[in-house]
Amino acid sequence: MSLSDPKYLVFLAATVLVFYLLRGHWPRAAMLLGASYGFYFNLSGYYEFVLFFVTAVAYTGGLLLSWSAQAHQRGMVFAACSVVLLAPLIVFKYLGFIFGIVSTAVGSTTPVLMLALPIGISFFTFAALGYLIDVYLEVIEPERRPIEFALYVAFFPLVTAGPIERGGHFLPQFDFGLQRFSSDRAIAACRLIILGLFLKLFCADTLVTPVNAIFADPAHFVALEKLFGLIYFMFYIYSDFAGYSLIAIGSGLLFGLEVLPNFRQPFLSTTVPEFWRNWHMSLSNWVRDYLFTPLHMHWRRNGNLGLVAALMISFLVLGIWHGAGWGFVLFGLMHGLLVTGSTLTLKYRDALASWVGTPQLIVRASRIVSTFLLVMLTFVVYRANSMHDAMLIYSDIFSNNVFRNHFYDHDAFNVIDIKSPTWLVVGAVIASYVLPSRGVFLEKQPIVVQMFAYNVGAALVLYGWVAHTAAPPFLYYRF
Amino acid sequence: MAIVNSAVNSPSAPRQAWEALRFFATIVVILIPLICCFGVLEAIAWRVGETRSMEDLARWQSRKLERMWRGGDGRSYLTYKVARVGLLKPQVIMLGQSRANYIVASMMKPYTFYNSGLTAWTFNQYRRFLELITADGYAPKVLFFNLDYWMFSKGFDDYWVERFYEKPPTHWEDLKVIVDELMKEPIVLLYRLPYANDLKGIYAVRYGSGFRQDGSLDPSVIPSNANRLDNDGINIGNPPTVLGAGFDEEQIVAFDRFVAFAKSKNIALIGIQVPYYAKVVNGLNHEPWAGIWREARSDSTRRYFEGKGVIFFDFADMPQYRDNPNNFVDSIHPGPNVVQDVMQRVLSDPRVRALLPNLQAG
Repeated sequence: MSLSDPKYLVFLAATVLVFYLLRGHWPRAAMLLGASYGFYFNLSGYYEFVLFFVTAVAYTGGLLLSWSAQAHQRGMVFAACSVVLLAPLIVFKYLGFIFGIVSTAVGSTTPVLMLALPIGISFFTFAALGYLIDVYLEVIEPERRPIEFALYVAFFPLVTAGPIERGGHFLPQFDFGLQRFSSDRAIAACRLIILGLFLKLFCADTLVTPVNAIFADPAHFVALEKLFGLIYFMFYIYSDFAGYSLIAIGSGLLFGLEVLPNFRQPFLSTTVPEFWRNWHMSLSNWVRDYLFTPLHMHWRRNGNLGLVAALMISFLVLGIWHGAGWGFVLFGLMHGLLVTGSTLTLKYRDALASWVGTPQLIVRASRIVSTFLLVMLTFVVYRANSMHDAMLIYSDIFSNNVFRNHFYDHDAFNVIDIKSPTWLVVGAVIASYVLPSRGVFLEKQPIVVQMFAYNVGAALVLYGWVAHTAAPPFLYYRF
Repeated sequence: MAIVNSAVNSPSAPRQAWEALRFFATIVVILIPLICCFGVLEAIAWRVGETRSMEDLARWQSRKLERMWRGGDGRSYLTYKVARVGLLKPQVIMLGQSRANYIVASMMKPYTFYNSGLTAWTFNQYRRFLELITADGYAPKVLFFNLDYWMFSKGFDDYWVERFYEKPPTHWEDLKVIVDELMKEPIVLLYRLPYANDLKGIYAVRYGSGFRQDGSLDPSVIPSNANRLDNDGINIGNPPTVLGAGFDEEQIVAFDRFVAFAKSKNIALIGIQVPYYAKVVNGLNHEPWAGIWREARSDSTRRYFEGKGVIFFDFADMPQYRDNPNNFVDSIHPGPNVVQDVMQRVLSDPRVRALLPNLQAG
């Protein structure tokens, strides 16, 4: 079951109930660990051994590092544990891609073995690896409590899609004996969960139809429709992922656990680097702290060249973290170039704007729009089913075709119908993050406004659940 | 985001219980409007009949001749008609797709009859329908069924697999039908609610027509536009009027299994291919890739059916009706007058009279 499944809410409620009925730290920790492993087994079956393996390696590695006194020894232990820790991720996620490259290079026609991917492997592997790096760098002490450490890696709201937690942030909160049920905290958690379900079930599921149709067969859509489809895709992926993250954060809060935020009004970013500071923050911060910063420090004597190299490598890793394919490689490289270009030119652009006398509002607005468009264009290679489709989309939207007014007949929907509910959804998504950025929080509004919002939101979530689980009705037409 | 972590110093159970009670009370109070709306929605759904069980609706329709039912989701027709058959246990049943719609009980007097059209499209679905209705030991004496050429085409089942739903819609799916209708045309539905005394199912309430007590469909009014059928969307090569070199082996096996099951229940089988409009007949007659059509109409196929104990009536091409669009709802659906004539001929046949000797019609 995914976090947006109604069965998940039943599971969550039952787990919360048992948690607060139990007394003391150990029973609660053990119960949560059991629930987490049960949750993961329900999703991934016997691939649970991968979760256990990663947990065991990271836990053992942390202890070994604490027992290793000499720097050389610590380095060897860290390197060995990291390789072993990353091995399942490489085998399950990237081996097929690597074999495919090698096969193509040597001209082999042997079919490439593709293994089924354990759900969430990228997320929990990075959570475990981040912990190991922190222990190696002596940022944190190793966690000696095995149950608590296993829970850190496997905590059920986070295990499938993050946010990617940090050992130093999450583990100290595992003192469950002190946790008491708080109505205010539970209501705050429910608020997050409802908002997350609204974004996921209503917004994302409304936007996914035109998005999937356009990317499944881009040749069947004119340039303007492709452009609109890209805009929908950006709001779809935000709604889907941010919604999921909110449900995870709200779920953690029900147990008194603060989970790292994952999104912070990313489409209001004025530069691509700022976008990455606000988009999938747990991953981008992980890459920044554990890859970019060490590389940049190592190459700081090379000036801008060192900075560029660190950025390109970091974004290449970030790109391929998302998936094993040339599209993701290109995605990472494109963002590396954009971030590099933005970082190196920002002060000149600021100076130019100041010299020209452009009002700050105009500068900010134009940068928000241009950042959005640039990022949107990079997501073509991220989402397209093939490089051919991606090139088709790029060539069409950058040609005069975008001004053509001939449209194919799409029975299911009209992509650019401004009156369609799709735009209402886009507006709702924009409102969900623009308003908080302006200090307009729902919980500070009059009670009538809050009640209206929660009731409408809950109604839309319920509708989304039924629409999602029910097969589309067969409206008998003729035969 | 700041945590509201209200860890307390003296964690007494009554304090925790109070917090839990406060939480639930807050949730309920906040969601009272939604709960009330839900209540109204349930009331509308009950009035429309979408959330009532099929057995309940089957009994409801039996109580008054004029009552009609037709749900919003076509996949609910099977469970509804199975419920009606379970209640009525008719001696004669008409089974098939929409081309079975206009066969009525008055044609079969004094035998009890039920029209189970719009519930099954393939031989596998025919067999499954019989399995469902005979599960309690009941079996009809005679089963009339659509026996159309296209049912023997390769892969024909793939087109109709989504329609054959053995489970009734869930309560939530029923409510969603009402919500969808309210979102589309709320005024119309609310205006029609007072008329829901003898109409149940969103389609019947909305449009005032549906399946009658004998399962037949309220006949459509045939428009008088002569060119209507030229652009009715039915074209040779597209389902259901598919093409093919000949009968597919898999479909022959499926047909044999259906026949064998019926025989095991002592159900006499009468297959009918009702007429097509000229566009279809002429198109198939002149289409080189319509070997399946020619095979279906051949003497060898007739002998094959007879060998299986299936009485087959092929009225696919009736020159007296074929060329006049006023005789057809669309290119593959003959109008009630044509169906009446066809059934008159069928019921006059000595083989049918032997099975139903007391028939008043024919």
